[in-house]
Formats: sequence, C-alpha cells, structure tokens
Amino acid sequence: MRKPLILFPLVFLFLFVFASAQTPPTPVDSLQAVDTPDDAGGQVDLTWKPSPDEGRAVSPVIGYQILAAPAADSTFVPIGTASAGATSVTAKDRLENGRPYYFKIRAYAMDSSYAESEVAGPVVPKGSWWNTKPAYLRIVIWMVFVVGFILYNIRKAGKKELYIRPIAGIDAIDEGIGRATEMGRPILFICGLGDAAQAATLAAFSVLGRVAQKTAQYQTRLIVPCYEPIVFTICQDIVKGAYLNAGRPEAYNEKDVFFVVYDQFPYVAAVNGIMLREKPATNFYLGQFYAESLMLAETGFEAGSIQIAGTDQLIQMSFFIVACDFTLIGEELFAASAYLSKEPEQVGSIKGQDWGKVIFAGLSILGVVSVLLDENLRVHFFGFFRKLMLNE
Amino acid sequence: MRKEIPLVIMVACGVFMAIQFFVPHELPALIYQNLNKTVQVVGAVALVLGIVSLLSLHFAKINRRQPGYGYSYILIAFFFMMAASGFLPAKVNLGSFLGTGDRVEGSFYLNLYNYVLTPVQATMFALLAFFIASAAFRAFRARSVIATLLLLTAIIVMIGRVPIGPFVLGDWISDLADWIMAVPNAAAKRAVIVGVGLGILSLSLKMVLGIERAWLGGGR
Amino acid sequence: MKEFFQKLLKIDRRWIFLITGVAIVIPFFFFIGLPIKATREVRALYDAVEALKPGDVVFYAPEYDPATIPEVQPMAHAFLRQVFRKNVRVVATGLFQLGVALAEQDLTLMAKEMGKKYGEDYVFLGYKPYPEQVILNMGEDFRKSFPTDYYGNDVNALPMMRGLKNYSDTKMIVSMTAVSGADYWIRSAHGRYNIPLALGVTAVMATDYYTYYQSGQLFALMGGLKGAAEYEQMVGIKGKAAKATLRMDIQSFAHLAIIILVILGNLAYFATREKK
Repeated sequence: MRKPLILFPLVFLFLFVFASAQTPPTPVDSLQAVDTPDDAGGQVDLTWKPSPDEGRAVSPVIGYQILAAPAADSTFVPIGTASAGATSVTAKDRLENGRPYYFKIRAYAMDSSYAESEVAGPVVPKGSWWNTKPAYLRIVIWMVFVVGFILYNIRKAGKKELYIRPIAGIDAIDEGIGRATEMGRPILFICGLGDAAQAATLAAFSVLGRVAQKTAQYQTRLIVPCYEPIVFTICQDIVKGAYLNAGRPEAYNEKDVFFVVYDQFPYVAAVNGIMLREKPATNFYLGQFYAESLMLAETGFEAGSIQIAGTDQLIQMSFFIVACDFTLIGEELFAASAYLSKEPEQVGSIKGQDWGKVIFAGLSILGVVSVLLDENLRVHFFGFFRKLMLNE
Repeated sequence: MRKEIPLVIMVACGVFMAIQFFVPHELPALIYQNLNKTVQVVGAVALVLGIVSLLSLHFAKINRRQPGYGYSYILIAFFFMMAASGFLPAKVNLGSFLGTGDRVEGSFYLNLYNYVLTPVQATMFALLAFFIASAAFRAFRARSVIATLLLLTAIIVMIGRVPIGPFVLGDWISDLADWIMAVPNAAAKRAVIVGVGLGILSLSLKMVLGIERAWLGGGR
Repeated sequence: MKEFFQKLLKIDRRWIFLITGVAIVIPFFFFIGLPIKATREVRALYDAVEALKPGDVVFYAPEYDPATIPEVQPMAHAFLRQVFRKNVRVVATGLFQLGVALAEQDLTLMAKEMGKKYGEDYVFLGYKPYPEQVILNMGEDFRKSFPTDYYGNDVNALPMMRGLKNYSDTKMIVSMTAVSGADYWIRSAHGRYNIPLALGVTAVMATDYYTYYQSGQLFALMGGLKGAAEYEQMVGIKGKAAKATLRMDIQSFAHLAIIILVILGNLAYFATREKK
C-alpha cells in the first residue's frame, strides 16, 4: 500500500520536468549589418529574416535582443531590443565611430530559452559627408536653379538698366520723412521683434540706414526703440554711420536709439507710451512682427502718425493693411533696399528672384497636371518629376 | 579693414551654414554648435550693452527731471528686484507674502512670475481684442466691390468659426468658413510664402556677395 | 437719424472698447454650452493618440507664455489627459524662455491628476536657449542637449529614458505653441528627421499653418480656442474643467458684437454718403 504513495511524487516530478523542458527556438536567419547611411555616425542598420518559431504553438518567440562585440570571438553585450515581428532595427547605443563591430541577434522564446544567430560584421559606423535622401536632393536642385538665376542676373545687371514696378509703400518713405520735417515732429522707426539673423530684420536695417541719412540731412529727430539686444547694437551703428555719412555726426543722439526690453508686451507698452507722448509724424514698422502689430499700428493711428509697415509675417500683414497707410507685403520689404538704391546689382537680384518665381509657377502647374492625369486617366506623366516632387 | 573683416566672416559663415544643412557628419554639426554658442555669447554681451543703454536713459531722465521721471524710479526698482529674485540663495525666506529664495512653488521668483508677470502679460494680450474691434469698425467698410468681398468673407469666417454660427444658421456656415480658410486663404498665403522665401534667398545672397552692406553701418 | 449716423462714424473708440468688453464679460456668468463640431484637422490628432499602444512615447513641446494661457493651455491639458489615460509616455521640453514654468506646471498637474510617475511615465527635459539648435541636436540624441533633465537628474538614470535616444524612438511630436518656434519644429524636426508633427497654435497663427497641414508637413492642427474646445469635447472633458468649451460661448458673443459693430459702421457709412 505504500508503493503508490512513493510513486505519486515521482510521476509528478517526471511530468513537471517534461512540461517545463525548454525547447530553444530556431535562430533568426541571414542577419546583415550595414553602416546607417545619411547619418552622423554611431548607428548600424541590422536586417534579418525572423525566426520561424514566432508563431509556434508552444512557447513562441516573443522578442529579440541585439548583441554587439568589438571582435567576433569576444564577449557580446546587449545593446538593444526588437519586438517579435520585427525584421530590422537601427542599433544606436554604445557604438563609436571608426571602430569595427560584430553583431548577433538572440531570439527569446516565452519559456526564456533562446537561440543566437550567426555573427554579422565587421561593420565600422561612420558619419556621411553628404545626405542622399530625396528630400535633400530636391532642395539642392532648387537651390542651384534659383541661386543660379539670381547670380546670373546680378552679373548681367551691370550692363543695362532694369525696370522695377513702382511700390507705393517705398515711395512713401521720403514723403513720411518730409512730413515729419515740416511738422517738426520726430520719426519713430521699429525694426520689429526679430533677431539680427532674420531676413526681415536685415531688410529693415537697409531702410533704417537710408531713413537715418535723410533725417540727418533734414535735422529731424529719429527715435529707434529696440527689442533685441544684438539688433540694438547694430541699429546704433547704422544710425551713427548714417549721420557720419551725411556729414552731421554732432546731430546724432545716442539716447534716441535705445534698448527697451526683450519681451513682447512690455515692449508694446513702452513703444505705445512713446507714441502717445512724442506724437511722431511718421511711424515705420519694418521687420518681424507678431501679435503686437495691431496694438502698435492702432495706437499710432490714434496719435495721428502716417504709418508705413512691412513684414514677412503673413498674418500680421492683414493687421498692418487695416491700420497703416502703406504696407510692404512680404517680398516688397526685401526689394526695398534695391528699390531705394537703384544699384544695378541690387535690381538684378530682384529680376533673378522673379525668374525663380516663374520656375516655381511653371513647376506647380506641371505638378497639378501630372497628378490630375495620373489620378483621372492613369497616365503616368512625368513619373520622375512626381517622384522628385512628392515624398513617395 | 573695419568693413572687410566682418565681410569675410560673413561670407565664410554664410557659405558654411548653407552647406552644413546637407552634411550629416558630426564635424560640421560641431562647428555649427560652436558658432551658435558664439552667437549666445555675443547676445549676452549685447544684452549688457542694452541694459546699460536702458538704465542710462532712465537715470538721465531722473537727473534732468524730465516729465514722467517718477516712472523711471519704478522701472529701475523693478528691474533690480526681478533680477535679484533670480539670484536669491535657496535658504533666504522673505516671509509668507514675498516667498522664499528656493525655485519651487511659493518662491519669490515664482511669485513675481505668477502674480505679476502672468496677469500683466495676459491683460496686455487681451487688449488685442479691443484693438481688433475698433480697427474692424473703422476699416471694414463696403467702399468698393473688393472691399465688400473682404467684408463678407470676414463676417462669414467670424460667425462660422464660433459655435453660435452653426447653432443658429446650420452647419453650412462653418463648412463655408473652413473652406475659405483652407482654399482661398491658403492659396494666397502660399503665393506670399513663395515670394518671401525667394526674397530671403536673394537678400542672403546679396549679403554673402557683399552687395548689401547696410548691416555694416551707414551703407556704402 | 442721419445725425445719429454721423455721430456714430466719429464715435470715440473707447465706446467700442466698452461694447466689446460688455459682450465678453456678460457670457462669463451664463454658461450655455453651445455644441461644437470637431473638424478634420483636430480629429486627426485625437485619432492618432487613440491609435497608440500603452508604453509608446510621444514627444511633447509646449511653448506658450502667460499671455496665451486662455487659448493654448486647454489644448495642452486635454492632450496630456488623453495621452496619460492611454498609458502613453511623454518626453517634454520647454524651449520658450517665458513658458518653461508653465510647461512644468501643466505636466506636473496633469500627471498628478492621472496618477503618473515622474521618470517612468513622463520626463521633462526643460529649457535650453536657441531652440532650433536644440531641436536639431535632439534629432541625434536627446542627451546631446539635455544630459540632465529640468530638475537636474541625470537623464540616463531615469528609467523611461532607457532605450530612448532621439525622435525616431517616439511616435510623434506634438507642440502646443504660441511662438514662431513652431517653424523650427516644421523645418528642423519634421523636415530633417521626418517625424509626424502636430501643432496646437493660437487662432491668429492657425491661418499661417493651414498650408503646412495641407502639404502634409503637419498631420494635425489645432487652432485657437475653437480647436481646443473641439479637442476637449472629443477627450470627454466636462464641466468646469472644459475651459475652452466655456470660453467658446464668450467668443461667440464677442464675434457677434464685432459683426454688429461692423454692420452699424457700414449703415452709417452709406447713410452719410447719400447725404453728400
């Protein structure tokens, strides 16, 4: 009677051992490792054929571990993971540029048994010197074309005079200065809220230079409250230089070109205060503007100033158009210095710019036509062109 | 030399910046980072110049007893107070009203931020609503066919973008407003964006080539 | 009558301010809760978040200052509530100097409300100057710009940051922004690293960014109070917490007041013009 009692645990033990016997999965196949293209280095792309045991009934493969080592026979350390179903991964961690690495993939089954693939490598991760992605190629093609046109026109410009259409807002600049001189009231010049690296601010600088030269000649007061510290130092330099060029360095007042504050709404409060106290005859708003545009322009209107604005900020243009007498829309602001100076090289650059626009319009029409043909008539017109233009 | 050296730096940086965009390698990235750090340093120095300019302006105002010089006292006092709040050692306690020197909730610095800066800024921004109302009242007049179109479009978008529009008039008004935003508005904006982009490119080229020199001070 | 219209044309703008003010203040006290229909561009973000799996990571970039709290904060709160509810993890920066404190407050508040733990469910990297440079750096490695987080912890010591190297380890970038920094995300994060990007912007900015939504550079766009209210309703925020929805009533009346003013202005214009 005692025998079955001894047998019982034995059978149980046997069953337990049998059930939990680990059955390692089939490892992944054809592991390949290549240096990741178009990157700064330190990355390797791994691809493989998944383990056929991902879908097996008993303890399927549940994930992969990526292992790397500096030599095929040295110790491999885990550097990343991939979930079941994945066939590729970019290894990013702990890889240094210029050193060889060997890789293998460990397939883990649910019962925590595992199998390792064959070793792939050596791969030396390194940074690329040129980005070959189509998005970048597109930009290069654009740049070469448009820059080429502009340069060509600048070169050609020296030979004959080019026509620019009249721009009312720029013609009004002299009027504005004249008005201030007649009324004996100051001119307020605001270079916007952008920093000195922004194109709109740079365009504002060239207009400021000309306005300052005129105010120096006419002995009209020019007030330039600045928002950005670097812009402030440049403005001081420009106005000082203009007064020097006009032969009136003594008329330059350092206290009229000043830094206010590097914060939007306090700046508005300060400038609005200046407008209401000083009642400038003419206000210039040239550069980058944000939500403050209408607050400035409405207050200027209330103070009875003539207002000339120009910005490349789309949304603020509408506010300026409503509240100012003249508004330079987008590229007109960038054309201002060419228009004012009439220097052939400057005007030539505008012509090149116009050619850029023609190309752009032409390509847009081609793009629309090719998409319409493709979608309605299944005619693959300009296949290459489509590929170049769209992220496909 | 006063103009040549900046010009050379400008050309070198301009060309480098254009090329580095296409190079993923870490070397240009490193140079780029360092150039940006230089900009930060220049910015910090310029900020000091700016602060000197601001303070000297206001001290001069006080000295000359110019009208409104009392406000200059307030400006100077708050300027130093806000700056000092950032430098307070963590252990300082200015009492339950002003707060502590620590950078957590209830600190002097955050109290100034939350209870002075925040409401003042929000108020200033809210003023925009009033300015828009008065500008709209003045500017939206059906003076010509085009002005009438502008007026009608503005009304449709204004009423279509708030819930009362579709609630009273039906969904068509919000659909129409969305269409105006997505089609004619976006088309016009794209055209302006293209113009602006080309303008920026051409201005940058002129600067790199030394044709545009206003930024050097005083023009040619 | 004509005299009245003539007076109306020359009305002191302070009267207009007063009318606008009244139209804004009165609806404050009467919540009507007008229904708001979700637009495609807002729904796209909601659906994208709903499609995420627990444990996925989103990159969140709040960049708004106190002035734009009424418009942008409801978006930020609704979005954070949704992602935390889905058990999606969040890595965040605050690259706008006047908005860092707000970014931190939002994250802490929402995480507390949804019972999330710092370092495991969300990480706040904080502020570094020159946003575009930082955005580019993070495309390579978050640690390049942020070796430590906002609170000074070593980023590598935070459990959530293990295996999280750059944008490509996140599912999307969502920026709630009131500054031109939005352009940097489009140009440098989406443009360079091709990560799906969604923006929540102020109403004034929304018109600017429609073009990017249409071109596919943004997969979703939330504009102003209206976008925020739509999102709140989709996420199912109700009562006092649905701040944007409450404020939409106010906006409705403010718009009505402006439209009535414009119509009056035009009536006055035509009435006095005939006289001439």
